Amino acid sequence: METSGTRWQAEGASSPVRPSQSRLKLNWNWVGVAPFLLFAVLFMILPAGALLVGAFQDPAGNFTLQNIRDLSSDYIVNAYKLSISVSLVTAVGGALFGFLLAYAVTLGGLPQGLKSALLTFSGVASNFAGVPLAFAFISTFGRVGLVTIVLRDLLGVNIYDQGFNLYGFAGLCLTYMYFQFPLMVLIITPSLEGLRREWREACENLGGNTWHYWRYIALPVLMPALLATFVLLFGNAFGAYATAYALTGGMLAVVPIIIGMQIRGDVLFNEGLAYALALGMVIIMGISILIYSTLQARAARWRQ
Amino acid sequence: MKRSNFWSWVWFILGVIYFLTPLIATLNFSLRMKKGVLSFMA
Repeated sequence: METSGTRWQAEGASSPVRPSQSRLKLNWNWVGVAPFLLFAVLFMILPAGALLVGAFQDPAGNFTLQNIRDLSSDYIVNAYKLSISVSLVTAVGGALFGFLLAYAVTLGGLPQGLKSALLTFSGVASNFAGVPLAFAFISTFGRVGLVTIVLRDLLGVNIYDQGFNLYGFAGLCLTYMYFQFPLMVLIITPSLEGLRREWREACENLGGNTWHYWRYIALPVLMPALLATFVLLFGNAFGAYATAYALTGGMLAVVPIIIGMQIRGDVLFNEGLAYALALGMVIIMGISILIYSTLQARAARWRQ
Repeated sequence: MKRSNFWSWVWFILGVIYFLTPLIATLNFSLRMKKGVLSFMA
């Protein structure tokens, strides 16, 4: 019955049937997307909206611009600078070394077993953060940490005399790298596996060397994935709170720590300022995503 | 081929050292609850 109807429509008036079919299809697609939309509204849009509202309210709930004005104090500007530089350094470092490591196990000719071992370990290590991570690094590079003592006793080098400090900028970056690095490995490995051996062979057949291969083939193919991972690593470090707090005890004031102080501190309690600080973080992440999508569009231009 | 293999091993071994040292140091620390001896006391 239906078949004959369809045939009749296909012969006589095929155009009226198409819109209704496509509308039906579209509706089902929307149903499929609904859980994601619900999730996005509940966990992204509502909290971000609450931040936006809270940033412009005083403790009594009246409208004020004081919280935003307070953001320009030196203390807070320095915290943003510190947060951004820690995130940039660890994102660049994590991306670079993570890439080299992922390349070594995928295309570098190492035994296949090492790759699965590394990927499994990376899955664990990329989630190893917070107090346990801080403790692991204190027992490694702290003043009486294993590496500090071994270097002092075997080589006569005291890294703390050389200017290293685990509880400062370098130490924090070194510690953050422990979860940045494996995250890069996890995300970039599938992209590296997508590089075909034939492309390299084709490049060599055409007289290209390793530099030509990377400059004109591999990097352009990988660039979108590299940029996306870089932004992810940046955001990952930017929002980290527990690791920095456990390691430095609040001495190194990154933005999440200041927000924490404003929310539950005895002295600095100012919820409105905490909202404004968090809003600032959202804006910085928004700007970095904007830069990312611009670069992404430029990097993907050769595909069109 | 051999050269690239060499660098792959270098990066891999550096990665292993970086990943494992904190874990070994933590284990070492946790065995030193009693002064001067290694024990499972903790």
